[in-house]
Amino acid sequence: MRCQDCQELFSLYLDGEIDQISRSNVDSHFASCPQCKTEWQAFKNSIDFLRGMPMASVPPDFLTGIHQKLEPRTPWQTVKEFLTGKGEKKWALSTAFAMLVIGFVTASLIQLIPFTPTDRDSKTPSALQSGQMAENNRNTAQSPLVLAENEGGKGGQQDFYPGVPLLSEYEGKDSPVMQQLAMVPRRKTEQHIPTVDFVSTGAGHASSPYLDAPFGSFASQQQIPAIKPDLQITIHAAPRAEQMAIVKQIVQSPLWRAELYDHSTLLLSVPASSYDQLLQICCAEKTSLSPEYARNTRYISLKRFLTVAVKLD
Amino acid sequence: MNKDESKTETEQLVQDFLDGDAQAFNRLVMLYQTKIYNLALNYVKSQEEAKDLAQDIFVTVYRSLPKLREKEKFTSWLYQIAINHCRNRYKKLSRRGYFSNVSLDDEESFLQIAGDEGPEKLLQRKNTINLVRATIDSMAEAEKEIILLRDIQELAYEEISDILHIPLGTVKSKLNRARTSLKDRLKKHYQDL
Repeated sequence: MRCQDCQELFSLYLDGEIDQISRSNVDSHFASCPQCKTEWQAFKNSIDFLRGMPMASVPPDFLTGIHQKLEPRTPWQTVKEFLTGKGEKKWALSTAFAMLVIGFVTASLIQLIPFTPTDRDSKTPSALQSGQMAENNRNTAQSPLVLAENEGGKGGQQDFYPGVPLLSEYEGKDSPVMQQLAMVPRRKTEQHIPTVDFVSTGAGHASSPYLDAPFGSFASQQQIPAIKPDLQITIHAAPRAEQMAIVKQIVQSPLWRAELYDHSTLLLSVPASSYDQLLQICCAEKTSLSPEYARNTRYISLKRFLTVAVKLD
Repeated sequence: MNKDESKTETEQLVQDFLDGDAQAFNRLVMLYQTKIYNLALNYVKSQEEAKDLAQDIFVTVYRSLPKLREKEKFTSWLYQIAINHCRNRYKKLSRRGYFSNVSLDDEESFLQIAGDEGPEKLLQRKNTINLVRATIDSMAEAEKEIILLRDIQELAYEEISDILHIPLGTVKSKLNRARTSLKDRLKKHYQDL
């Protein structure tokens, strides 16, 4: 018998579950192999000690506890146990507290996330005329292009400034806020000449008071968010090289930010103070403006940035 | 009471309970509470948790006993329920980091080691018990379970086969491997045993 075979029989040998022949083989192996004999002794000592280990006594109220658990509980008892933390439910209170803390932290974080406003004032055309322009002025420090993209949503009825009255509600009051908000419409009684901000763009542009009728390219590109430029400059210069020279000057100017909107249109974010320079580049006989009176800088509002669409004819 | 007498008494108590004798269940609890409580103690390491766990086991037994088909296999059935409860509670407590707060001293404080030996011998014996328990705890779950069932709970090979749902031959080979592993781990402390 090999030593490994002998040691594999230790357990059965100890429990008396071994047959007579195997027992004789193990006994004769022990007689000839002192190492296996030593291993066997260690094996037997370990298990004997284990079997001789004392057992713990059962707590005195053990059976009573079982009967209590078997009794049907009233809802009040269930709540009481939950609150006092008996048995397994002792974790429930701490878990509930942890969840409350997590909920509070999450709610706080959500408050910190900047929101994306939608056109809540798109309910009626009159609202567009008053409230939406005022709404834009809340973020005048941002790029007008970004503003335009944000306004692409539909049907937003939610008030994103809870507790703050709509700017349209300020109308008719001589509030200092009204002076600071350049996009807020001025009354005709105060200023008889219309500014660019009040350009009427015709019946086809209900979504934007700034968008002029010839902007077919925008309307046809459904995948591009609706942009609401304050005015449009169309370059009629011919030949093409001359057209491109004007475009190049516009694009290279550091005074404003230019972005390509589609294959024939640029969108410019022009500070009101630089509007003169833009007009100088766009020579009168080679370009047309919509509205045309925007060529006179007197009619440019105090708005800090103008969104200008430059279109190649 | 030897094992056969205990088995006969168990079967009779189960039958009495199913016949409507509510006291039979109490006697069944008295018969098995120490073993089940100690089994639970080997998993959860605290008297309070072990008490709650063992009580839950008997509550499940009470509610499920009418569904037991083979009355003669009550012991295996009881231990199946007990092992399932113990495994579930152990996992639940482990996930909560419960065992990182339980020390061996707490675990062993419930053991009452009696004897007519002197205090020095008693202390030495208590230390050895701690050592053996710690060694069992450090073993793989399957090895630990089979040793507990055979050498602490003194169950038969056939019963272990039923409880763990493994063939009899596998029980024998696994038990030998587990015991050999225990012996190897304890080798350096043999002089204490």
